[in-house]
Amino acid sequence: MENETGWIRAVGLGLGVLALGVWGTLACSSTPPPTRAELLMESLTRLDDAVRAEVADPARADAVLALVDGFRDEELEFLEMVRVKKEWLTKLNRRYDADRADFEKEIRELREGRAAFRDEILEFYLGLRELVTEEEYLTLVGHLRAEEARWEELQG
Amino acid sequence: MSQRTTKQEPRRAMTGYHQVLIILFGAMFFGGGGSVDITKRVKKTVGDDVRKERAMRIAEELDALPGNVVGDLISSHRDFYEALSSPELDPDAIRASLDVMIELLHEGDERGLELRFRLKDQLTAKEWGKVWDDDAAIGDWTP
Repeated sequence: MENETGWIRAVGLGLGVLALGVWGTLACSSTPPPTRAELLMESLTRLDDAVRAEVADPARADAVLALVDGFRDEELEFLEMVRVKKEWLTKLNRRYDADRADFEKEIRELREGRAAFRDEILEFYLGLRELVTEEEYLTLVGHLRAEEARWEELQG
Repeated sequence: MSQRTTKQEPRRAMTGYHQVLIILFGAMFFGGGGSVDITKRVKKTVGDDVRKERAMRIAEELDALPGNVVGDLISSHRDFYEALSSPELDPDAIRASLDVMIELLHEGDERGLELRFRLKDQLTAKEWGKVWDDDAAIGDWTP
């Protein structure tokens, strides 16, 4: 009976050590999840792949890829504008006696920036529709929706 | 804000996915303290009970603000994809769905700004410095 108990303890201890080892390996090898900005950029890269796969005519595929490139630049510019504003607003907010007018100016400018980016989004989709067939267009829009589902999966 | 769309979503907590959606159309600045719970900080920092209670009510609203915008934002985001999903693209419908999102975020920013100044009225300068220290960034946007 004593031998049996000792054997059970030894197996239990062995499994515990093994579990710790597995956990340690996973913890050391796991990479941090992508940032939100990285996810957005990665989705556009994956859109490049989808364009190459879905748009049969190489000349049209190149034109679409150039359109995606242009949109990527616009998105990066917009994200940078947002990042700079956020940093400034965070500093401004820490000042107890900060002037309300300074905040209002930033918020107004942000709204204008959003409106400008809205026009870029619109231009992107209208340009895309002009360059591809109806079937290709629906496939690519479906791809973009699937990308958002992937964000949800990755980010919770 | 909740009157704006017909397909209402229940109020929900802000998730990483929602934050990605929001930054796609421009971050929302004045919603809570980023990853920091402002209400907890106010509770810990403000000594006077009367001011603490008032300040906590305001801070709770500030912390909840992004989540309150999310339901409407998801509805308008769905409208955006519906407008895109027709091969006969209607630029006015696409622009309108994006404008709804821009207005939701702008209204959220204005509401957050109002709450910021109401909260400030309840705190001393020293308390303000403790609540909004280097760890607390404005808004929910992390690049």
